[in-house]
Amino acid sequence: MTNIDEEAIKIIAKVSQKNPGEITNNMKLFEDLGLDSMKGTEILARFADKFGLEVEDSILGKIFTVNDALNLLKKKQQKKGAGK
Amino acid sequence: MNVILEKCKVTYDTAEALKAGGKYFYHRLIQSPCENHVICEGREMIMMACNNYLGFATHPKVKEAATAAVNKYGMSTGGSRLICGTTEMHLKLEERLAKFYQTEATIIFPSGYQCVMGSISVLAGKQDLIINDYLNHASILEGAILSGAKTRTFMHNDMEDLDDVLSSTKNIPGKLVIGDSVFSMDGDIINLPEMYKVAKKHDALLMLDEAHGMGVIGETGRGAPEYFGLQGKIDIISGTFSKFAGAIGGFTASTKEVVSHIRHTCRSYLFSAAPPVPQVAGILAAFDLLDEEPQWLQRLWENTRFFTEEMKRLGFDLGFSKTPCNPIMIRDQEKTIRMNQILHANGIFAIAILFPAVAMKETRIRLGIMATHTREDLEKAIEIFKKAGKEVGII
Repeated sequence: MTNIDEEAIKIIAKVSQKNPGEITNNMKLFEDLGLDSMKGTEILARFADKFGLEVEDSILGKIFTVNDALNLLKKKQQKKGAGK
Repeated sequence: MNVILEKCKVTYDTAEALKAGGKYFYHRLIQSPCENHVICEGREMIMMACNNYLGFATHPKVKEAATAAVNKYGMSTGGSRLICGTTEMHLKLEERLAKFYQTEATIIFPSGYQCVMGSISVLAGKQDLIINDYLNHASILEGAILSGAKTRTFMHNDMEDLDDVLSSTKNIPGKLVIGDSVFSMDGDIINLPEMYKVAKKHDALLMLDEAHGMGVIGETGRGAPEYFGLQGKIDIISGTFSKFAGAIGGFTASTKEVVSHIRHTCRSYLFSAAPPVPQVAGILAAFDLLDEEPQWLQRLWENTRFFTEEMKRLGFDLGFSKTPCNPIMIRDQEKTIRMNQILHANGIFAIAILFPAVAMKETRIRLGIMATHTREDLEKAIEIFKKAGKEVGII
């Protein structure tokens, strides 16, 4: 697990009010972690703050699991790196 | 079929299916005043779903004041206050509120929802940031959307999290932090002292929605500011008269500049007719009662303590409530519906709060305890809850 993954899981855990240790990659954000659109949007805003990335709210309809969220961050990081 | 009509048909079909299955407990027919007992669909029931906490909706002095006002002014001023003028009763209520919350000025609206939504919509703008408690009322969230401001959410009543959100948004100068004083679905109270400290630390304005706090918490019913010893310290206070006063209408209290800004720019104020004068008169009488008949507030809390202690003793999960607004947590959609059916059949007027209004694991029956409930009402209700809880398998 990368540092980014760890930080991202801390954010997901904070917003879903779980301990980071309880979060696994295959967990579903809405069904398993009880997120709703408000909390989902807040997670994206915290990703943007923490990692300096632009994350549009519309992406929320395309991520369903913790793994999806981590992959999204990886892609955004790669794009940011390529843009430098 | 037109797609708009198709959408309406889906809503219609869903509601009709629930009605056909005996699972629809909304918009029930009431044939009596909103008191501790109501006649619902021809049957007497114990009212346990309303927010008429102090029973002022039907207090003789409130009815007398409203009757005198309707005789003097009629029903309406004939349009908005901006265009058709304002009465001395509207001004008197605004002055009364300013004293009540120790602010410079207030503005009243015909409804609490349009007041909170409208006030927020003109206070913040595109360049600003609104930070909401996760459980804030829908009217606050609606106002934030209308304002065009960026919005962020801190986890419910978690002031460390609020501090983190504010620390990460230092580059935005116009920040407005908003919280309910008593949360309408859970009945818990905001940690106002910490929230105040954190907001001041980050130079953010603090706004409080006193809907379920006003007239209910604080030694003399002056809400969360009195409860926490922060009277005169909160930047903006909004609220409604539909709870403690048993009426309808809303208000925002703040500095004279903030109130003037709302009065001259807020569309839900400018383009609405004035609050009906009989309502205003009744609300003024409710304020008098709060000072002159403190026994109602005392009885409200005695009833709340008795009911909640007995329910907890029976094993019910009442969540985090600290007020007369009480959830009975069931955490299962079908069991919550079944519970509501049993309560209704046994003469308890309660309401199921279901998904999607709350998360699937948060479904509940929400209750409002009243000062006018008798001990006999509450004992009878507890017996029925016990029976229903056992049948559903939650106790």
